[in-house]
Amino acid sequence: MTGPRIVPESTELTAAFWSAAAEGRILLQRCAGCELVWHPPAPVCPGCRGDVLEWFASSGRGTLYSYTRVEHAAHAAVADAVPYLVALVDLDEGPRVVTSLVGVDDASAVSALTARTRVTIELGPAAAGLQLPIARPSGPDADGSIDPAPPA
Amino acid sequence: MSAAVIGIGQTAYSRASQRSEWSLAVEAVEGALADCGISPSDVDGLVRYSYDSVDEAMLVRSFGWRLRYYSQTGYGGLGAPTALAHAAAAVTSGQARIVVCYRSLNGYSRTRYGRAERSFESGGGELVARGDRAPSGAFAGPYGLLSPGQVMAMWARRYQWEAGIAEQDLVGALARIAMDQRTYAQRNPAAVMHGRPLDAAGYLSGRVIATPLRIFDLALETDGAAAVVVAATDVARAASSSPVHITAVMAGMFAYAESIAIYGELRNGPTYRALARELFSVAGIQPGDLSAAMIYDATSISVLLGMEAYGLARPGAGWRAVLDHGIGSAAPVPVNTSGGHLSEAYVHGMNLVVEAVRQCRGTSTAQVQRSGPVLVSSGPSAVVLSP
Repeated sequence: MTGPRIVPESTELTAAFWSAAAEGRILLQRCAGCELVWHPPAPVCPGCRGDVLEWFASSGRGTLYSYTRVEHAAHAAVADAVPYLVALVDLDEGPRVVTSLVGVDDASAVSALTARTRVTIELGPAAAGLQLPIARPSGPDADGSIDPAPPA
Repeated sequence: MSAAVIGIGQTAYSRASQRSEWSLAVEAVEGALADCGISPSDVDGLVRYSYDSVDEAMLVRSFGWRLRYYSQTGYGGLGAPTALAHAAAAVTSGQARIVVCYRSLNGYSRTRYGRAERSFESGGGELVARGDRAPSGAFAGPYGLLSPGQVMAMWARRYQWEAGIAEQDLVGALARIAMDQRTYAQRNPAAVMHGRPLDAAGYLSGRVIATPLRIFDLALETDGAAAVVVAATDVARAASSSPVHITAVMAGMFAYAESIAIYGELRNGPTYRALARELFSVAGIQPGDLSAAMIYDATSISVLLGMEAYGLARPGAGWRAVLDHGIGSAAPVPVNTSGGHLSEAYVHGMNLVVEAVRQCRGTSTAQVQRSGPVLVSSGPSAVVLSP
């Protein structure tokens, strides 16, 4: 990377998330009252508006929801990174996250990606320069049909 | 609902206005008032986009207005139908009699929505991504998810997977949308892409921006402004133009449905479809009654998803409908008949509203044969206009 890195602002709401993210872990919020799990972080439960919330670490396993191979840099910060893969991953705990997708090295591997592609989360280089939780395909596809329902 | 659009105005659309957005806004508003024979001094309401650099105070000064009502609409492209929702509410509740809605944007020479430079503040040699919205928010920017087109590229891939189709079929449908809108632009001298037709070979030779989307799948970046005048029906009778009635309008919102959403359902999902049914119920029509539709086309995939959300095609079957019939003049419901954001200009939906009014008046450059209601939609925000 030669350009500036793009870094997330850490707020009172998200500081715990980013501390864990720097170590490659994705923390999720859970409501102590109704046990709903969600992302991105919110101050009250999106299900019951409970405000006793707890952080817990995702298993780091999930299924690909979608991806794109970015070929045109929309900012100078990623001019040297293109082409790169951005993915949306539905974690096994439910919530969807944005991440980088690595280990998909050639065109045939990219075209083999499906809505059943399983991924695991690891610490690695995000496209805009930071070390963050990123996704890597983890072997055989999951069974089952595509579920278009929202995560929460 | 007893509100109507009585005036429309627009500036030239270009890639180098060489004028301020303030100046463009004044010209578009003057045009819209002249179009309906309303004196500027009779305006008493104003609705702007929160994103617009031209604020109420600036236009009030330019026109010498004494307003009784002003408001702002958020979320960029959702703003055009929402602006009409505000204006209609204001005039039907007596808060105002004549309300101007506008959008002015030097979208090429000043603020390029395909670029992310405006998204970050520099700090300590780094760029700081804030908030949880995509693209460019704290959870997206560090991963290089930086432009609306990149998010919509992921919508497109997800659509392909949920529809269970090959990439070739998806690309074929997106190409058809881009080409049909470009064909409309050949009939519209105001369109930036007038004189520049697009065939399949040309589409496929366009550079890939973010797979599976190519340059021709993305909205233009242009300079220009557009405006409309909304009045209560009794005021509309005094105008020199034929009123176009606002028969139903919706400023929809639900969890994760903000303008460029990634965490919730795809834009053709069940909640979007339920909202659309409620809109049509208020209007007293079925989707098949529409004579034309203006579906917000930040990208070609937005059109496909919008067609399914608003009942112009069954969920998951819009690609087939587009491959079979296109969205051109011969389609069951012609879509984006001015060329839309892909080929006319990118005025954040306000140019789509202006075209919908032209269709209702019978003055479009690609006038549909059948007179009837016209939809303008942008995600969960939409309006039905009728002659």
